[in-house]
Amino acid sequence: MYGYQITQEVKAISSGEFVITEGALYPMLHKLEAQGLLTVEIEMTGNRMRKYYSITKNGKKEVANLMTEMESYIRNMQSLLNPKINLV
Amino acid sequence: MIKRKLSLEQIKFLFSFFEHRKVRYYDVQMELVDHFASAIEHRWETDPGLSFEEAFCNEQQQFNRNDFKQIVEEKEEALRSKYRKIERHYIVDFFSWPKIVATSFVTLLIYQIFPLFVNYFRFVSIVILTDILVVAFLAYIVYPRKYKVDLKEDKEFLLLQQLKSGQHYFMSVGRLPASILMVFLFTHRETHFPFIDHPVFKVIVALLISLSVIFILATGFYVPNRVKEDFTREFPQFLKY
Repeated sequence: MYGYQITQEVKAISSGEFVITEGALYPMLHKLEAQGLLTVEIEMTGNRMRKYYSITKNGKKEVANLMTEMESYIRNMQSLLNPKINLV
Repeated sequence: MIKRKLSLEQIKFLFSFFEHRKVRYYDVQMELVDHFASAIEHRWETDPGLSFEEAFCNEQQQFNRNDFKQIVEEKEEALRSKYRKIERHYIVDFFSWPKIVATSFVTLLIYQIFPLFVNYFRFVSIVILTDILVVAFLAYIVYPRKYKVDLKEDKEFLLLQQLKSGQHYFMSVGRLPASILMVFLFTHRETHFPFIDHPVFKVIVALLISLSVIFILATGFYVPNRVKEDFTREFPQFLKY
């Protein structure tokens, strides 16, 4: 995926709820690339170059870790918001 | 229906726009140009009659003036931290098996010749002078030739900037062994520091010197090689073969 495509995908998936600004997107992509979580490939498209990002093996592991953390966070938040109080 | 695309002239206009916004590196410009171009072409899909100028202005308004500067600065920082991390791993690797054998050998060698440093001032002057001359030769003669990247066009890349800044960094790191020796031996000469003949003290100095030698290998050879490899892999179309 390339930068602009990512912004559009996020917008479409979240039905316009999340909008990633370019000023936030590119620094983040560059950071993840430098950390080896993303890999890049440059291809010619029409009369310009396009940089495609794809996730690396380490990136996939990191996503799995973050998802586990996120799920546990959501579970904890749900139990805090809807406590099952046993009065017996 | 044929999709409206940006012409070469319009793409050139976008490049010059980013150039004027102080985005001087081609690798960053390229990505921002594609972003703007994609956004304009996307807009043309729903509003094909919109002029390039209007579409460009609309897109430009979505960026803050400082966004471009921030993108460049954060990419610089990301690259710096990437290569510092590679450098750290390379150094740490010298303290794990089997490289630790070589590290211990060099440290032991320095430890053994330590009395020469202390007792023969002429010898230590030669060592210091040799270090400075060898490093200057490597940094100013070997480094620019070995890590020269021939480009088809005269463009400035942020990734290649790492090689340029690495050259000055290497020059500073290269003087470390001489500096360590000078600090310890001049302190000894001036103050007759009582621990100078103590084995533990000598081991520390020997270890510091061998650590700085590994540091030299990392900054002068390993990291610049990695930068050149990364550039060759990422931007092969810009290389002159």
